[in-house]
Amino acid sequence: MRESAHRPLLAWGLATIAAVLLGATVLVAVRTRVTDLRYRLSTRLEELRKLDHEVERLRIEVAALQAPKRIEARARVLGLRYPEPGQVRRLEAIADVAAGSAPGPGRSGESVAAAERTGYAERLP
Amino acid sequence: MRRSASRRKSPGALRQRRLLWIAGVAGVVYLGLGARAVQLQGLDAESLAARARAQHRATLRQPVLRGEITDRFQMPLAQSATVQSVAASPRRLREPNRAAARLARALGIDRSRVQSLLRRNRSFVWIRRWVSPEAADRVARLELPGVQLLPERRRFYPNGELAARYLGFAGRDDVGLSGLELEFESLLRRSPQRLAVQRDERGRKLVAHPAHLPSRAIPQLVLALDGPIQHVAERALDRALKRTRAVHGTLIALDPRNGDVLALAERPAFDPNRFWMAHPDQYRSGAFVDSFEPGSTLKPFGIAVALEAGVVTPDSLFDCENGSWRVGDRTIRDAVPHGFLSVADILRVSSNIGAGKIADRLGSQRLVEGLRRFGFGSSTGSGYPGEASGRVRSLRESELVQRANLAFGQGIRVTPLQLATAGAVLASRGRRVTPRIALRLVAGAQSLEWPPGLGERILSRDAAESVMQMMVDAVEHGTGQRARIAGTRIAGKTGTAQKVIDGAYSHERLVASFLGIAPAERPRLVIAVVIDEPGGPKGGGAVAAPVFREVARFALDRYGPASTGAE
Repeated sequence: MRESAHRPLLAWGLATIAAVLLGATVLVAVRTRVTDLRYRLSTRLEELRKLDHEVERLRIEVAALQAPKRIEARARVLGLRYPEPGQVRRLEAIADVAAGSAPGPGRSGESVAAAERTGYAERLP
Repeated sequence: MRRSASRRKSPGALRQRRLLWIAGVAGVVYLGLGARAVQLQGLDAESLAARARAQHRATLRQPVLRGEITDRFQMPLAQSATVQSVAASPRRLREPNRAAARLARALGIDRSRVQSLLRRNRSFVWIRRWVSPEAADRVARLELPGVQLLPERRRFYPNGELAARYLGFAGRDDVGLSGLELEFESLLRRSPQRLAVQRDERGRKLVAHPAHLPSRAIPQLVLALDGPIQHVAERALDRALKRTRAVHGTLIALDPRNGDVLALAERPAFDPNRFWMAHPDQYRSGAFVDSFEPGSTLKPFGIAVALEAGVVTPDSLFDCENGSWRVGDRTIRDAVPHGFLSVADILRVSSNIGAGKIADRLGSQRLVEGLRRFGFGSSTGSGYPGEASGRVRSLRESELVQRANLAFGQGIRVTPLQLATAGAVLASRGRRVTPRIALRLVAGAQSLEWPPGLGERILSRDAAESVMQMMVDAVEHGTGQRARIAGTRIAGKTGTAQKVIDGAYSHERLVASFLGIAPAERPRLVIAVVIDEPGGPKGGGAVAAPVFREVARFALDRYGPASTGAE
């Protein structure tokens, strides 16, 4: 009679202990996972930092390669030279787009659109 | 019998007593543990938590790159990067001589120099700063105790000497020391970011929260400068200096529609990547801080003031005294004798006597006030560090010689930038122009824009138009013919000024200058060229005008002579 009265209490006790243990296990697992992720994040950050430094170095290298003085020297080696007077022809539409103005009299909207399509407008000042 | 009976009773009682004892002891232990837990978690919780946080918490100092400087089309002019420097703690080195030999080999430097550094009784010495990535790798592989690689920021100028004096440079600690690097220091320099991290028991650092990651965006200062025009300007100056053996050359190109400084070239220059190898004199941008007597390039402004005041018209005639005019106790001479000349012809042939007589009719006060209105004698408002204001001395009406001298550019000191800015007033048909050095600063999603430098009217449109026409004549038929560009009308004026040496005007040491505006109808460019102490041919027309032509031709080809007009 006494044993049967204690049984539900024991079951509840065991269930509570199991729940607490389970909760604690989940908590520990989550915290371990978070810590692990933070370690991985720190490692990635370090890698990112190194890659950033590499990007910084490469950007300077690219800028040095694009220096007008260097390009001119290379162009001269290739036999290129600055245009003589009268050798430069400007396309009005491109000039308009570059200047950010709407097509003016005698300059068609189609030619402006064509300049934008070809990308010439972006490359010109 | 009684004893055996009590023994028979005792097992249960004994067990119960033992259980009571165990329960009692356990109770006491748990009570103690509970009390301790209450103390730790309750009473001392705050201070203990603070101690724990302090032990685990750390702040990681994240150095950030200085902002980038580019030309108007985002061509990089100044960039920063992280580089490694090699440092050592000599006190911690066990075998300094062996370490020195290995370090010297890895860095490719003199062994004895490294030895002398490592023999010092110090806790820190720089072995070599700003080493290449390859050299840094070699040093790292040595794994020498007491030797470390430290990351530092270094400023790079990928175009070398291009616009070096104008840009200035940032020093070893990434602080702007001269030029635009100094002017925009507060915008370019960024404070190191502090990243909250936690330390584990092995000292490894963990990011406290991903939201605390530092921003990687680098601010970009976009100048009004046009890199290719700057390059051509420097090349043209180099040629002029080589041809004339002059000591110094300056060229400023402005867009009169907005004050944009398209080029600011000075030669000789220095390589800001190795600024420590240049003489400090070369750091100075003479275009802003050095003033000179402009000579005849000032004449258009005196004439503009006289036209504005209504004391002359372009056709007014003046007797140019056949090349020699006695004023007070001095004689003013023209290079070529002339009789009667109109105001337009005075400018075309650059007659000193004619300019002096126009000033005579105008009066000292009106002449000085008029020149000051053009910006002479005060800063242009560019904001450049140490910009000089030049000098326009007040004159009494009785100072006849000084007044005449002022009319042809003697007794006044102007900077090359002031000359270009005043020329931009004529080009913009009378509007004040303030040089605009920077277009915008972009930092992430934020942007700061500088407004165009076209200001209020300070000269009537008619007076400006008249002077521009006279300057066109000066180029087409007068002293500035070497500035002519086929197919484009150029307005310009030459100047050849004697330098004051030991209190007297020198006949040998001159300053040749040219002020040009192109195209004259709808100006897109104002270019001032100043060549200091040319040898051989010394005149502004022979020395400075060809420099203008070379640069203006390139710029007009680049932008196109057709423009949206001055206003």
